[in-house]
Parts: sequence; structure tokens; C-alpha cells
Amino acid sequence: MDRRFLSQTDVIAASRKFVCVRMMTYESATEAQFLKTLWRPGAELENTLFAVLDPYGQPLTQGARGPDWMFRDAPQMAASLNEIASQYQERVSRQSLPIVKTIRLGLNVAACDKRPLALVVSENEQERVALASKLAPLSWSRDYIGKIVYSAGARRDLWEIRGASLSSGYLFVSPNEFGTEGTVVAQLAANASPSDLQRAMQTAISSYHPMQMEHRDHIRWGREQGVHWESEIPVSDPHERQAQHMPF
Amino acid sequence: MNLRFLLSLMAAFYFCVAAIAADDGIGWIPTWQQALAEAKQTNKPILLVSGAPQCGGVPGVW
Repeated sequence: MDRRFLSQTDVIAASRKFVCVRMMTYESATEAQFLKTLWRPGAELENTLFAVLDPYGQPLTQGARGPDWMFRDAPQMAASLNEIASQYQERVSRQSLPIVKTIRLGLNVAACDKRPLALVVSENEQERVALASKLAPLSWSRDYIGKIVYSAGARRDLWEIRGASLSSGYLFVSPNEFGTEGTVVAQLAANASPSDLQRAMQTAISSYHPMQMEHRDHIRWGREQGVHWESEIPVSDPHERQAQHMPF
Repeated sequence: MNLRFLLSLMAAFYFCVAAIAADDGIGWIPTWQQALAEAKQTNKPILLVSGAPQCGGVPGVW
């Protein structure tokens, strides 16, 4: 992600007036089809894509590789976003927990973002929905928005998670550098109160200390360790296909 | 100032620092389906980003 834009205070402030969606390229065939409609007609989908759309999903800008294709710098991006948002009258609505579709992918995204991961765990889909609803208001609260990645699953989906000892409730996890494994730092039963959840979220944030590493060094280290990610659909970005065979 | 008081002061300071450790970030929704439903409900415009959670086949990096 482009930290020169998307991690800047004024852009983050402007983003609160938008629904912000970050899809994982090549991790859903359906989403890839939709993303291609925002990209150059007939061109292969590339690794990154950026666009601004209206509340009904109609593009307000052409798709670009990133915000740097559209804006000179973060202040200009923030000003443009504020201008666009001013044309819409926001309606208040209860927000759902932003759940990454699998725990495997959630761990990877958390490692990419250098954020802890919170997991909603139950054997029962209906209970997972109820547990997620209880966590949702905190996830969107001013203190925690954008600070934790969320996913959900059953006990059998926890094979990459070390230290999980419950089959129903909440797990708060520190991912490893590559997002291939995670370690539980706090866990709560399904009857946890909102203040229990808040304490566990705080523990997850304060106990996670990811390594700060250059992009190249991360890739070199990953290759030395034999770490490899298989995406759900084939990578079609020509630059990325070259990168997979390049020495780092 | 006795040692116990000093230690509790240090612990309180550590807790305050730890409590605000993570920097602010954008609140991302990870799927188009959820984002579109939310945008329609709230009448908010959509900021869309897509990124591959791997580079050169190595995960843990955008």
C-alpha cells in the first residue's frame, strides 16, 4: 500500500467520510471480474488498483494503479476526497465487523498491515454472526478503527494459530512476519463483555511489535525461509510475474 | 519519594504509552459485497483500493 498517501493523517481523516474497501487482488475470482471493469478495457488485472466510486458503485474516477497516479500529494488527495464527500448526505447506520474471508488470508493481511488479528471462533455460523456483531461497534470506534484486522472461522480453521484453547469466543493474535502463523496473546469466551473485549484489543495492540524491514529484505528473507504464497487465482500482473523469478 | 511510588508512576506511564501504541489507520472493509451494501445504507462514497498481499510470491507485504 502507498504509505505516502494512505497513512497520512489528513487522508485518514478524509477517509472517515467514505466507505473504504481494500480488496485482495487475486484472492477472489468474482472480485477480480469487478476490478477489471474499473481498469483499462481489455487489459490484464495488475497487482494494485485505486478508484473512487459513488454510493451505488458507479466510478467517479478512472481506475489507477494507486493514488499517486491521481494526486500530487496527500494534502491534495485529502482535499479532493473532502470535496467529493461534501456532495453526499451521510445516513447513520450500524456497521458490520469487517471480516477477511479466511483465517489464512486474514493472517497474511494482518502481517502486511503490521496489525494484530482478532478472530471470531465458533463451530456454528449463527453464533459467529452474533459474536461478530458484539465486536463490530468497538472495531469502528475512534480508538480502534483501522488498528486491528478481523477474520472468523471454526476451531478446525485454526491450524496456523498457536496457543488457541477455545472452540467458541474471541482470539487476539500476533501474526509472524509473513502472516503464515500467529500466536494468541489474549482469548475470551463467547460471553465476554464489551469491556473485556476492549481490554483484549488493547493487549493485542500493545503486545504486537512487528519488525520494520525494507520491502526487498522482506522478500529476500522470505525466499531464504522457503515461504511461498499461492493466490486463489493466477497472478496476471506482468511486472509481478517477472518479480517472482527475479533475485532479490 | 519511596521506591514503590516511583515504580507505580513508571508502570502508569508505561500503560499510558502502551495504550496509544498503534497509529491511526483507514478502516478498511475487505470485501466488495460488504462495502457496497454499507455504502448504499450510509450514502457514503467509496474509496476503493485493491492490493495483492504478496510480492514475488512472498506473503506479509503489499
